[in-house]
Amino acid sequence: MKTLYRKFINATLLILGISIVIAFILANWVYMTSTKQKIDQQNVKIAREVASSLEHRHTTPHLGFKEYFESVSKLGYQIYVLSESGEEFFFGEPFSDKNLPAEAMKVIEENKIYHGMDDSPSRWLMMSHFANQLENTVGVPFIFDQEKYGLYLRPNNKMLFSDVHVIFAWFFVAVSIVSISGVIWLSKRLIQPITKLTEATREITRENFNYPLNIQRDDEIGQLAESFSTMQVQLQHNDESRKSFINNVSHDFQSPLMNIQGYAELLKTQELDEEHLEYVQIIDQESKRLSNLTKQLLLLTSLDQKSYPMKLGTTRIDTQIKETVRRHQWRLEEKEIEISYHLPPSPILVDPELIMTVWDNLLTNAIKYNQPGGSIFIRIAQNEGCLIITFADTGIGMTEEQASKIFERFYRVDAARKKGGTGLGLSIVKQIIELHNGSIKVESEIQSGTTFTITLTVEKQTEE
Amino acid sequence: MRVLVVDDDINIQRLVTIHLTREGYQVFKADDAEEALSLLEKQNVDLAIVDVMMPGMNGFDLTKILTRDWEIPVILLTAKDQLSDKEIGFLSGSEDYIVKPFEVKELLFRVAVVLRRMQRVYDSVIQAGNMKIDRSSFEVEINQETILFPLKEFELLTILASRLNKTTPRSLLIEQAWGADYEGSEQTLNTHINRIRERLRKHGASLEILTTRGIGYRLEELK
Repeated sequence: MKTLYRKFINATLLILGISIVIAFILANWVYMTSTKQKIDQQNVKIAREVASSLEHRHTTPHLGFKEYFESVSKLGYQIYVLSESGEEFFFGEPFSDKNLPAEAMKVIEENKIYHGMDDSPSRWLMMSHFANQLENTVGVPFIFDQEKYGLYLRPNNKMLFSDVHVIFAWFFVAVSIVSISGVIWLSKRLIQPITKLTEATREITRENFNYPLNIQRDDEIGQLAESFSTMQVQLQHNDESRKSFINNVSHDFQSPLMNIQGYAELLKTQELDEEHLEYVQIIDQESKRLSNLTKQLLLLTSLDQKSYPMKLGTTRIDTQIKETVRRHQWRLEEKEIEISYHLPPSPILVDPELIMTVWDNLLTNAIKYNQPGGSIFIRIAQNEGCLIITFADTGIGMTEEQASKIFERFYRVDAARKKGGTGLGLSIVKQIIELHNGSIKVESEIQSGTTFTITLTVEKQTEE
Repeated sequence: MRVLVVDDDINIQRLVTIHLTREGYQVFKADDAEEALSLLEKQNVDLAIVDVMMPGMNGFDLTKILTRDWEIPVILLTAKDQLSDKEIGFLSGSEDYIVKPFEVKELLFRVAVVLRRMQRVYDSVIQAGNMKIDRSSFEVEINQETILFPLKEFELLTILASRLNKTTPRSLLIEQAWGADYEGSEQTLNTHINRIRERLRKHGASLEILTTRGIGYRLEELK
């Protein structure tokens, strides 16, 4: 959030900088191509007037011209006078550099005007206009008291930087300060609603659809906020209907299935001939399968949504597994399967609902494919930031080829077909374990048993 | 034992009733919470089986009233296999829950477990040798490994462990595990005792069951 804000200010400063550079280059170009000549000519004109008014003065020559130039310099000019005989006179502000090029000598020798302001090739920046150098002058010839002189002058820098210019400079500074702080304020105002929208989006991923936006604007951001609010309502509606659908499927499907199953089982206890008993068993099995299938398909559709919203919480998986065992205890007793476990307290950050499905599936399989009088052993081992959970049974086992395929969807080994398996259980298990960045392995030997090994990392996972 | 069944689905109500009656329970039926509560005014029950989704007062609220005001253990029937539901269930005080569709045998097992748990509040942990018996969770721990014994075997082992080094007569064992009016052969007891022996050996218990000829069995620590 800060970066966007910084970007705005950086961009403004950059634009300001670039525009200053471009404006300077343009102004320089204009100065070089036209302004410089105009200034030069203006100054030549002034110099000529100064010279000619001296020539036409009807004062006595013995008084000299010093007094005259002195008074002209006070009007804001720096003046240098050079006589034919090499006599030099300075008036007004002194020059910092008193070198004069050979070109300037032609004023006296050839009566040629010196354009020091325009011609100088070394000066290609308009700053040179303010260079306090003798070179940076215009020169005109004049005759005084029968002697040839050169008059070189340039306006004093103080005259060039008048009070008006200072006012303009301050004006410029004020404009920049106001516009920079304006940009800061504006970007703050612009970014605030964006931050709010980001927060609201985050809340939506947590299934909170009631985050208040309170953005009242008529610009594009206002429109965005408005459609965002509409989306919130729509999402909430979708979420509710999805949940109620799942609830309905669970309740309204399972209750009738429960009845079919229950009454089929009742029929089984009646005295039936073999054929009818078989029919009843089929009804019983298939209703069980249908009920499993509905549950698993519901789970699978939600898992398939690309980013399943995991509701992570610290969970004691040892108590979860014990709980699962307890729920299946009646079946274990019926099949005379002995179950033992070593489950030390193992808190871990997982989605409790999903991970419970894993234990349930693994235990159901271990019971379903066990042999009467067999046994099941469950263990949690803690190892360097990992939990290793093993489910070992003494069941019918699988061949290596079968074991390599059991995590595929709808794959069922022949035994599973007979026992009403859906072919989804283990693929769900695998998907859930992978969602938790864990791994699952299977080892199996035909007629002697199967062992599933799950590895989960305990290290604290962040919520994102 | 008297069991109250509260479910608005008549068919499930009937199904559960048939099986419970066959097992020898006395069953009372109610279609909703109100009927159940008015029935309780004139009839004592030992256990209630309550459906979660019912018109009117739901199963959770009924469970609260039954456990708090009547001190009746409750088994909840739920169609939603979701943790949040189970949590609400236990918070409202239910002893156990069963997810629909359940097999009737499952329900019968749970009913038996809950009723047994209700009967014994005393002395829930017994220690004998390297074996620990937890009577509230029906767990047997040997060498840091927990084993779930079948219910009958668990009962027998509990009696023997609570009378360590003392001989328990066969008749007492049969009465405790199967009930006073048990009519099966004594051979069944032998089979169960042999299975317990095998399990103790397999899991490395420092205990063994010895036969006192003509009288019964006793549990002793291995020397």
